[in-house]
Amino acid sequence: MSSPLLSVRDLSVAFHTDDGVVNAVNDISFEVHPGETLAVVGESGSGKSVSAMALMRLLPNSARIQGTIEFDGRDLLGLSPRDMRRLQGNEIAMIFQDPMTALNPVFTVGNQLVEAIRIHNPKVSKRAARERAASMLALVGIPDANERLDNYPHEFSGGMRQRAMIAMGISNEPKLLIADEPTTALDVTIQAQVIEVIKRAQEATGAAMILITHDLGLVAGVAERVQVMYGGRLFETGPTETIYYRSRNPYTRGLISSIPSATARTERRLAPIPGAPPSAINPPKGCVFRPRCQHATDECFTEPELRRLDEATLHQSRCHYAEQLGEMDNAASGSRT
Amino acid sequence: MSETPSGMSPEDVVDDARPASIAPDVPSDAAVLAEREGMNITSRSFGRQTWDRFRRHRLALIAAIVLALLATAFIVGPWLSPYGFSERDVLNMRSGPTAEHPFGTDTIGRDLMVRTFLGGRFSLRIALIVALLTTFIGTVIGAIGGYFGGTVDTIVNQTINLFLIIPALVVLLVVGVRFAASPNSIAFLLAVLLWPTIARVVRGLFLQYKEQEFVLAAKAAGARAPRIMFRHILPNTFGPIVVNATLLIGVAIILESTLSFLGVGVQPPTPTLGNLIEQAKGQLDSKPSAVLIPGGFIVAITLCVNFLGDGLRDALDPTSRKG
Repeated sequence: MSSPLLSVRDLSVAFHTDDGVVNAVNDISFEVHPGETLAVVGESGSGKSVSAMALMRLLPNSARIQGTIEFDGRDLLGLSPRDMRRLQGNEIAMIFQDPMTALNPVFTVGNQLVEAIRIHNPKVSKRAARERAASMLALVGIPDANERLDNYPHEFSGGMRQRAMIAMGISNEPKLLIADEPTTALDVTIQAQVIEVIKRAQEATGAAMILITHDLGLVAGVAERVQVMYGGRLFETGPTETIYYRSRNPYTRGLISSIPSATARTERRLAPIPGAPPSAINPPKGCVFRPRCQHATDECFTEPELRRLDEATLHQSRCHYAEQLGEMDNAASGSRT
Repeated sequence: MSETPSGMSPEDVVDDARPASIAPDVPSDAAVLAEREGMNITSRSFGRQTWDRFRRHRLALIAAIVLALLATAFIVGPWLSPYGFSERDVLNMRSGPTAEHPFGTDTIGRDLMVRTFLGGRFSLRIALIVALLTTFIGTVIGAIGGYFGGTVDTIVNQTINLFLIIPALVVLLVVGVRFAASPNSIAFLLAVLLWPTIARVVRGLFLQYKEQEFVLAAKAAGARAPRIMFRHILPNTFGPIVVNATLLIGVAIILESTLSFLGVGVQPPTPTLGNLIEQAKGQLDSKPSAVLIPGGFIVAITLCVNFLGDGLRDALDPTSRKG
């Protein structure tokens, strides 16, 4: 395997608030290889966005960040603000959740695209930057791109604005693209289109991508690997196939059975996960998922480690009963046949 | 404010309702969108759009024309007049409006028309200096406080509050008595006292806008703080700033008049609209025109400037679809 583009080691993020210390992210480690897509999945408050913001160094100064983030051989947390700005939007780009507010309402779309290009390439002429902006808009499927550059964001529909954001994200051909819930603010009907556009944009530039979402259903055709987060912890990580079909974690399984399916052969009810995500200030003792877990036993009062289950696929799960979950599956399928 | 209904227009629904299962490839996608949304493709320059929107604002347009005429009269009038501004016509003292003296004369026979125009010139000059200086100082300080927050903001905010609780008139009276007041020094003094009103507005706007996602997006694109503050956030705040600046023009004219009326403003023989009223106050019963004419100019300028501000606010907001 090639050396990783991004390597995160033991990343923790804490916020000191009046109510106590909020441990938003606890000891997460992961790698992203060049050109690869990693999906980070979790409920709100699972720490997925915070860890992405930590990568981009966009967290407020009140955040206490520990661990190391190595990007392309450089230690991101140790870079000076000046060197970091050189990476931001250039080698690492971010697509935000809400395209309604992520574009500046008082500038034309073209103006903003041109700026994004020229911040990092001041030598590029305005005309050349504009041409590049137009080709980027065309790439993300906006018709009459050249005329559309002179439109204001409010003259774009939600889907078009997100396309424009994607165009902006890839305009400097980043090595890593971070998409933070890029479809959450959009109509369900265009979510799939926008994911298609992101994939196309990613392929056109060869960028690696971290796709953050709470919708496990969205990542199937896009990501090579999935990382499931819960309560600021990494709960399970592995190849997409493995996570979907051979999950060894009760939380991941809960997420999967709460995806509606149009093609399920047998009629089954959606199974929501009962309860609410844990408090980041006073997490439950032991396994943070214990209060909501149907398999929980007394053993779960001690917090399980994230354990590697398979050397080849690097499938890891944080559950005392990871192996037993597998055996249960085998038993179930055995009895059916 | 940025979300006009047109941002969520019907074409949204049309565009977005197409079945997602059809994998979108560029050409067909583009063709469909072009067909459906082709009609609202506009490419006018920002200046052109601003002008188009401003033109629709009938009242603002009239106000701008009136202001231009007034300014021209103030500048050219005294120069064309046969009388000097302190020249006495001893045969026609205390006269009401006549053919030789359309605005009448004052108690010592000076022509009031030339004095009113010259007074208007000084009053307008003071007001413009105050508005520009105040807006500049207030915007920079307010922006810094609002954007950086924390200790910086606490200092800015407390300074603003300190200035706001200073009774302006008392300070102006004290300082005005100590120093011989020229139009420029009065303007400077007013600016020092008035900048907090703008700073407070700008600080509030920056506090609000810095949380917007486009600011985060700009940071993620590698933009530096000054660029984010003055290139990304500031243009969003033009509307309220322009409105407040124009309000300040009115306030400055009235404050200057008050000072002159109290006798500590611009000193005679230099006329301003305020000290003209002060000098004529004894004649309010016998010759009201001496008070009403400069008073009318103050009202006209203040009103016009406010209408102009309204028009500019709408014209500078690209999301308003009046154009």
